[in-house]
Amino acid sequence: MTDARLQELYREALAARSAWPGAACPEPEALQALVERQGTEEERLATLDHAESCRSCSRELELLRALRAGAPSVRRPRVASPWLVAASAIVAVAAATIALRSISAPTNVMRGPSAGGVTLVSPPMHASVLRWHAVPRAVSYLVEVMDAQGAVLAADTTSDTSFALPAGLRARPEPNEQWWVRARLSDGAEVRSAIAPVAPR
Amino acid sequence: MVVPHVTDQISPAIEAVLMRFAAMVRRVGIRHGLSESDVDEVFQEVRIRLWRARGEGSNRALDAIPAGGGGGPAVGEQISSVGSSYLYRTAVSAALDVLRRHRRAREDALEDVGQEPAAPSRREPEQSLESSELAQQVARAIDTITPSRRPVVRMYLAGYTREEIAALLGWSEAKTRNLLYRGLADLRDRLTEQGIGPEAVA
Repeated sequence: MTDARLQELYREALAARSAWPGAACPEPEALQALVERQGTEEERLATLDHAESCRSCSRELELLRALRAGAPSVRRPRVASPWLVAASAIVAVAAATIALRSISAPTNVMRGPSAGGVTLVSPPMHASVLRWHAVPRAVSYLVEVMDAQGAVLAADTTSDTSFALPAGLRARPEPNEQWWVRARLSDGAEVRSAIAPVAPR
Repeated sequence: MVVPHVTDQISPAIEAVLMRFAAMVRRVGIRHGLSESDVDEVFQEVRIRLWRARGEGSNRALDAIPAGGGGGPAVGEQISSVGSSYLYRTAVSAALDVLRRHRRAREDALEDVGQEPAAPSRREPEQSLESSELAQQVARAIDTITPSRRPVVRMYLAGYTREEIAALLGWSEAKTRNLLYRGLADLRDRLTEQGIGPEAVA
């Protein structure tokens, strides 16, 4: 049986279940703890197992998950290790150096929303390719081009640090198009760029 | 409590950030059945909270957002990590309140009606009987697979990508892929044991 057929049947089974919460449903705080990765893995897996088999909880979890995924430049708390502290110090010095240089010399680089985020390279006029700087430990990048309302016009997941705009977007550039890049790191964490205008190009 | 024109009471820059935040949440959630009305309700609650907090002078975390910022694309870059964290926490708090409110409303409705309403069915009985039985067999087979793999399989079958599953659980892509494939193999084994193999289903 193909994955697609299994997905179809599973959704059908879920749709036949009650959309109303029952006594076994976890509290909304437990769903939020899952999203925030708080608690033991065993607890989170148990919450997730129920949520994904329950129409009511899966909808609630999706709301909380989407809030987390769509939040502007919110990073998950990480446990600092000694080497990470040292690396952070090096990054901070490098960032300060770059910041000082940027005061005297304008640059086409757009900083990410927080230290360690993805740094976009401002596209030149009529650019057909969007570029960003590599992020250490990134295993893939999700790049999205959106209209002013946030609707996705083009998207791609890549291990590269560039994205060729589809011909349709290059042919009909919109002044309010925006783009951003989210990097998936090797430990599953995610860092992201600021949302930046695609124009001028 | 009626709070008309809340958007008039918060700065254009914050409203712009909120609108972009809401658009992102819609875009992330829409693929997994999140309704626009759910998102709108939460963000209206967020606006009310920001409006109240501004009146009380207690949301200084948002001062990093320029009051006259206008709402252009640069606003997303101007928002500080403190401001975005405050917005996120406000949105989560609002969402939890909305979810609790919905649950209470459903419980009240259940008490009034005295029984749980039946799940909707859009199919004709003759169309769905055989398929529904198969769907239930799949659901029951999932219940029997290894607990550590089961939630991953459920998420995948509900339409989440491996990347989304890994992000939620804080796992590496390799761990997620490994548990997913093993879980799907478990599921197919269980179905085969029940006589439901590739040849049994189109």
